[in-house]
Amino acid sequence: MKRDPIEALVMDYWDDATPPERKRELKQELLAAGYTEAELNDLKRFLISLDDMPVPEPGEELDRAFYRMLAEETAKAGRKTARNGNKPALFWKRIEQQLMPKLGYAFALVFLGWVLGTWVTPGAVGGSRMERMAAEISEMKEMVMLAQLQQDSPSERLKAVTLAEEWTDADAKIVTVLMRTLDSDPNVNVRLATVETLSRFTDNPVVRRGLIESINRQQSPLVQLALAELMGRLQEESAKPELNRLLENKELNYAVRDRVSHVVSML
Amino acid sequence: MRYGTGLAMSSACCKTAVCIVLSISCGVTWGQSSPPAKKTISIHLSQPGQSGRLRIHHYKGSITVNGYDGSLVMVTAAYRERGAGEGERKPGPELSAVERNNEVTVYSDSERYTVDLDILVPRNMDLHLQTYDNGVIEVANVQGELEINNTNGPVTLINVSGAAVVSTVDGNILVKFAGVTAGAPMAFTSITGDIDLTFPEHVDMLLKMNTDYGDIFHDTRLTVAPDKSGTSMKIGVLNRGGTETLIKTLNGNIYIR
Repeated sequence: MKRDPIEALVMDYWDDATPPERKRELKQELLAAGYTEAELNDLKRFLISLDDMPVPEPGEELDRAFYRMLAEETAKAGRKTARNGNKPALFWKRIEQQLMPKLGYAFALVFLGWVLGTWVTPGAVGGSRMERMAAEISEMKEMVMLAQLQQDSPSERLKAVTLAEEWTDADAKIVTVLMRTLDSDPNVNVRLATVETLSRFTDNPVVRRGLIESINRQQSPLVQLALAELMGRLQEESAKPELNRLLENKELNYAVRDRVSHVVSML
Repeated sequence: MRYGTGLAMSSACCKTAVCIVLSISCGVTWGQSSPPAKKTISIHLSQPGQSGRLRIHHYKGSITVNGYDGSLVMVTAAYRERGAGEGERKPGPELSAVERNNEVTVYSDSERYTVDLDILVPRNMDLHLQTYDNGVIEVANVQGELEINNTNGPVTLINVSGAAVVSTVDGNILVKFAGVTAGAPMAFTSITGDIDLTFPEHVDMLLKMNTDYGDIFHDTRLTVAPDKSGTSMKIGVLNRGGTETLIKTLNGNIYIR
């Protein structure tokens, strides 16, 4: 503590530039302040060693850093100046500046998609995913079928009706649509094919009842016949009243009448 | 329903402005009117050269349609010899047609009188023909989708290609295909009629056939086996099989050639 203000004097004392008279004065003062001769010599050595410590020169690294910054600045300033610079380096620089942000966005989007995907598809267990896919496929098939049934072409409508034949079970919507087709499609053969398709779903009581109710709504002998024969095949006793009502119809085709009476007698 | 000329036209016009009424705008040509009284109309298609459609809901009488190289639809209507139960009638049948987007609908007074229609159409034409009584339906040299119903008479289709959906109650069905549209289901059904179908040599088809009191006749190209799903159907495979074709008659025979 005591020496702090005096240290400057020590430096002056050992400085070669200090005149000898001043040096002598300083030595008096320093000795008075409590420094010993030995201490002063130690300090002198210390100061000399400080002088000898190497001061780093501005090296190559500094140059490179400086030129890099310069190049960046010139690149920013415009292509005209950049062209005169180091070409491969500038090429990479440009990639860095122009492509990297885009790549960054792309990766961010992919990641976002992945995150959303995992969030939106809950409990993505293999089995349930397959079930869902199957459900979606059958939904699409239904849509195709409904659209085809609206077509003007009877061949397209036949296609729709036979498409439904492949399904193991039909949901309520399909059953309703097929029932409506059975009762109101303008083409006999489409209605006939609909009987054939609905005959695959007769485990469903709604389908059975619908088929029975449809018997007396049919004008075409071909469809009347197909429905009666189906009732015979199913041994559907509850169809008897409707079949009897059909037999009461005086306009019933004679060949169909024969078949229907035969079916009724077998029930 | 009755399609009297004036009535049908005016109501159609009132309903839709798009509707083009043809018996006037496309030139009505009356046949040389000495007996038997005939009437002819020619109809321009709005998109000539493209496939069209002819729709006739006929009641009594025949419909004969022939494909030709022209672009007009030409319809000739004639009263048949007066039947015993028919009263007085006009010298010539009522006949009119409406064209809209290449679809031609022909109206006549066949509900009251037996009217025979003789029609020329461009070859590329879908046909939707229907008659109930007292007539035959004959079609030749047409390519397209053929939807044909003749309740009490035969249907004969010769040299046709495309897809056919044909039904009769008391008439035979005879079809000679020049070609069939792949992937289009077809159906031929009757109660008492025979069904006689001739397919081109290399066609791939799957035939579901059923006759209760008749027989199935076919050449060696066709292999026939009972349907596995328990129905009384017989399954016939032509070449590699393909889209399903339904062939069903109660009393008639089935011939596949």
